[in-house]
Amino acid sequence: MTPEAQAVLERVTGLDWYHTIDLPHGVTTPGYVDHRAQVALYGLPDDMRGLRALDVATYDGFWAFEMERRGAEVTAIDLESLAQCDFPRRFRHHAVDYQTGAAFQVAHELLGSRVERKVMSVYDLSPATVGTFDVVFLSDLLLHLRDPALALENVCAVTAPAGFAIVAEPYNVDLDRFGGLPLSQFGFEQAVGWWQHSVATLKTMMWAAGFDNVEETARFRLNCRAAIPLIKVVLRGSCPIVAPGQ
Amino acid sequence: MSLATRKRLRLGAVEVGMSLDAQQAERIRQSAPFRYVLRPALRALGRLTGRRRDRAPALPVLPPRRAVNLPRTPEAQALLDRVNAIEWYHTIELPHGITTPGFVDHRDQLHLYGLPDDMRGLRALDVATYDGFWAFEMERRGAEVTAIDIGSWAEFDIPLPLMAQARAAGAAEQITGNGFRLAHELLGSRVRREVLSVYHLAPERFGTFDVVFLSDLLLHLRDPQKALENICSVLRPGGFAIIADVYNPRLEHLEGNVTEFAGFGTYVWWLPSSATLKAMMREHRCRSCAKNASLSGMSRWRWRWRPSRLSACARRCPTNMSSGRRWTGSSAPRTVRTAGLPRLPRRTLPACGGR
Repeated sequence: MTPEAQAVLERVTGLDWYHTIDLPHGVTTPGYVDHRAQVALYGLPDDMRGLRALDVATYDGFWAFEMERRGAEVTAIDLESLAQCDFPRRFRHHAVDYQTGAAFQVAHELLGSRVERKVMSVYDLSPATVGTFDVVFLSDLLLHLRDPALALENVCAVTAPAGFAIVAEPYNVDLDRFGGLPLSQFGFEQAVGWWQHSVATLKTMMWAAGFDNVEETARFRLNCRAAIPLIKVVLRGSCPIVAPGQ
Repeated sequence: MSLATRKRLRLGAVEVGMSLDAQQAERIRQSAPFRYVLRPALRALGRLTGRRRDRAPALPVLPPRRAVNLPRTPEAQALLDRVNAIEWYHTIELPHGITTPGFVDHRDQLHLYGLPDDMRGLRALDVATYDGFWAFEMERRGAEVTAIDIGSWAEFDIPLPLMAQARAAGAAEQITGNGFRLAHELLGSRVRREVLSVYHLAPERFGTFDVVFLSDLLLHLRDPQKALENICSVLRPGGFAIIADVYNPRLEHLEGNVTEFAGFGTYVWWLPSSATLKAMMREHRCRSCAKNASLSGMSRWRWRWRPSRLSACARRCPTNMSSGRRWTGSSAPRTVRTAGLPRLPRRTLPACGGR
């Protein structure tokens, strides 16, 4: 092992990684979820030069760095601490004060990235605070939100008229079998998520949020260490309705 | 995580419980042999064994919108013009024999809501009071009542993209509370009405309450949990909340807390099953009372936690709601509540459902 790799390794160990990220000198972070083999399923454009992109809830920044690698000018937003997540009153004592930005900073520095990371909740996202983007990327977030419809409204509001949003979320396979009814299952199991949506709910919610055109890109099983299989759907929303005040 | 349908068959003294994959159950329910042979046979058997079907009581059929009574006294005549100038949501009995021509008439169904008969000495909160029927009712029972409502239709939970249309249609100028103020004056009521959205309800605003009453509101909210959380936060330790909201009977046979996302096509965001409503309330109960979390089903119409902390009564909504067809019965669509707001454009949904 080269001394450079050793130095990188020292910085990587001790952090709690969510994303598996390839760092320089052959070091890979031990992430909870590994998107690397499934990147193609998300339908990101190969060439994103000249595009402004937003990564919502970036965590360790895998998608932000990926979009930057493709040439986009990327802004990433995230909460400052996991304690700011939507917890029901019943589970609020589970909230841990885990700073989400630490691992991002390390990866950012080691990759020499120019992604701009802002501390901001998706609930506060608006054209007035961040401007509009050609590509808005949101992955594995809605299930953790009490108010996913508001999050999607905000995502739509910051999508440029000619732009699009990629919403990649786990869905409940059982709910999906009811003739396309937009059903969701409510339940906060083990303090991880509020809702399990069906694909129809996600599509309807994106439509209600203002995307006139919602297309399905892919369905697949997420490559991660979760105890139960997480089946994801990737939706692409375009033709956002122009919100008032724009 | 798997969904299942549960069914109990009782023939005389024999009872059989079945649990089936929900999708399979749906297929069986739709199949011709079941619909034309098995189900009629089972019903006939049930009738033979004399078992009454354990069902929700039928909705009482209410007369259509009653016109304002036409009393003969000069005092009443003087009031009539003022009453008729307002579009009423609640049917309220005013002095001089005048009854407001409300969109909804709760009078015959009061007992289903489980309000205490004697509310003297209690502080009560009526959330989203509209014309104030429930506030005046609780006051009549002796409570000291505070009623909150939004100030104008612009505060309604309208999706961002439609907000421009709503504003253009003058939603912001449509001040709520005309009916309330008139009824308040005529009834000589001392209910205190404050403009406050349930999303901003907090103990710091108007203190805490023994009884919090909420009826027919959650379905119109994009974030019903936030409302329940706020309601829980203004409850006194011994108090309770009554949540009476519309539920989706189409989802009742499903195990698991399932809700339909109605997508605001008819000013409705969510249509949960009654189990989901209960689960949503449970999620927000104050932790200090979590020990007493036993739920006893009293009837299809009302649930009450004992010892009472929150109680719920749910109301059936017709199944075809989200498809935009007409509602029937007393729980008719709230489109009247939104009179003056633009009709939402009926856009076609992207192709939904499984591949």
